[in-house]
Amino acid sequence: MGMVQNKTILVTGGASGVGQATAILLASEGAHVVIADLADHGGAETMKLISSAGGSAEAHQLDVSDYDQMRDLIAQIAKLHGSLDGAFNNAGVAGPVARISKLGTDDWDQVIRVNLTGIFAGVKCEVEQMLLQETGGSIVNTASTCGLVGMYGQTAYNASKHGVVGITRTVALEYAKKNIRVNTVCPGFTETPMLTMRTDVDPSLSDYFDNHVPMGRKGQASEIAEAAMWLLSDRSSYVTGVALPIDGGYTAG
Amino acid sequence: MTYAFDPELVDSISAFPTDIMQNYQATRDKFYQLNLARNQRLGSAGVEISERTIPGPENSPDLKLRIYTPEGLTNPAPGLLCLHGGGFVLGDLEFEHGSYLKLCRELRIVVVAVDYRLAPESPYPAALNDCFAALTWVNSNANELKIDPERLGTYGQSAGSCIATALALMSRDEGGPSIVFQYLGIPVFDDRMQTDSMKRFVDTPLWDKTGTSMAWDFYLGDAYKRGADDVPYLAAPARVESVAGLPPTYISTMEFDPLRDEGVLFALRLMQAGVPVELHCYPGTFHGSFMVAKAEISKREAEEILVVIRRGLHCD
Repeated sequence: MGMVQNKTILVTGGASGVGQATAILLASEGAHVVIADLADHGGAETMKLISSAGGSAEAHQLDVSDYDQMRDLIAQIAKLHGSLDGAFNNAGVAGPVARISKLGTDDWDQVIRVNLTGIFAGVKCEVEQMLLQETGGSIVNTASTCGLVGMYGQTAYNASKHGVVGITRTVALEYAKKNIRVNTVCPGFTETPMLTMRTDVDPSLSDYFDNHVPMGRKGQASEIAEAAMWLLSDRSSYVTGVALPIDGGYTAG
Repeated sequence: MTYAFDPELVDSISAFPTDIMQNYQATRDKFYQLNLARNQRLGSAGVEISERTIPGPENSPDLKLRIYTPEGLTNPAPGLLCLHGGGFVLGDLEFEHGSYLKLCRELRIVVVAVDYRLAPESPYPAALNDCFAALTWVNSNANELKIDPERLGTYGQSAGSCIATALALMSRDEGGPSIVFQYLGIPVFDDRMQTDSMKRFVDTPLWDKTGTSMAWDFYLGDAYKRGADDVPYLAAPARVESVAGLPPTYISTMEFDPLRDEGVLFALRLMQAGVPVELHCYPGTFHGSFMVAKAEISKREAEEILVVIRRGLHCD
């Protein structure tokens, strides 16, 4: 029996990076994965990788910052599959690297809209669906070590990720007795397109990241996926409201 | 007249101002306020912005430049001298600031915007002389600006592209810095106003035949009469006898723009003279319709601007 056998789990931002790695891992452990992504193809590549490995998945195009789209997708999942057992609200954008005096208000708006309001929309719709289910459900949000500490040049990103931690802790308290758990994973420097976007522009950043992590290396998307899956599974049954860093020790000291 | 505008542009037409030349001082102020507010929202992530005042042409006032340099630039990059549009009468450093930020950021090039003198207060050749002074200054100070002088190009929309073309002609005919590429967007070339599109498009959005005639009257001032034989080709490049030897060029034209045909004709002359040229006529569009950013046709144009300039300037 897989760790998430027969569960229907939504993964947003599932076309690449942490989302893709998590979708693949969940499917390999028996879940039916609903992949959603802003990209036109909605994660079709992830779906193909899962199918060719014998797993079960579907892909949808989704703009997480569009509340109506999110609500419609959740309703569609419930109708098709009977229940939504888990959700990995992982979609996010990095925004530009800029100290606050150079950050445009448009940049701020966009990052907050996708990273914070998008999580709000996801969690709200998922909780509303899970309340209809006796078995409740498990929600995991992707925050970041930037949701716990500051980082130069990332006012909007860090504000949004701190906000995700805030949403998680609060909603966890609200529905703890309803069999609905809400947690975050807080990845550190992880080898995904979001990171290579930065290191491609400034290769010295790659060494900087390695040198500032106690383990001396970046994380892999699969290492984040492991944590997300555990939190989505019944094995973490007494865990709710946590912000779990997966960061090679970055925030430990 | 009814025009077959692109459906995604139609709803925005009523938002475009009319009679912008008729009360140009009010238009100048209004555009400045709107653009300043918008520019402040944009921020400047990834770009270092500085302003320099340089000596103007002889017997003329000093000239202001706004320089956009990519953050963390070490090796010399291509440079782009940018001349804003506005019918020779409108426009300032805020006018196309957003575009210049984007060019700098996306292409990792140094952009230099020129605050050239406007008509009718300063008619031809004030703007041209200002821009030529800027071009020479940029070329002479390329090292300090981190610009590779072999990869210095020009960019202009509307009246700006008229002046850019004149710069290239001046460099060719009177000796000046070499220009590796010129992007001439929706260009104004011909004060004679005899093309088919100019005669027919009397009531198109934002820019029409009336606006064109007023722009030329203001630009030529008292020294020349629009349409007369003695109007110099450095004011109206369509009048030049030969376009041979001009730099590789890109010209964009809009389907329902009175200026459409003079842009197409100039491109044809360039082709026939053996100048490498790219010409694009965007369907269903009008002068300035790229400001409707959400339309697919505008997005296509925005993408193409980057692609052709990247190629023209031999970006890394």
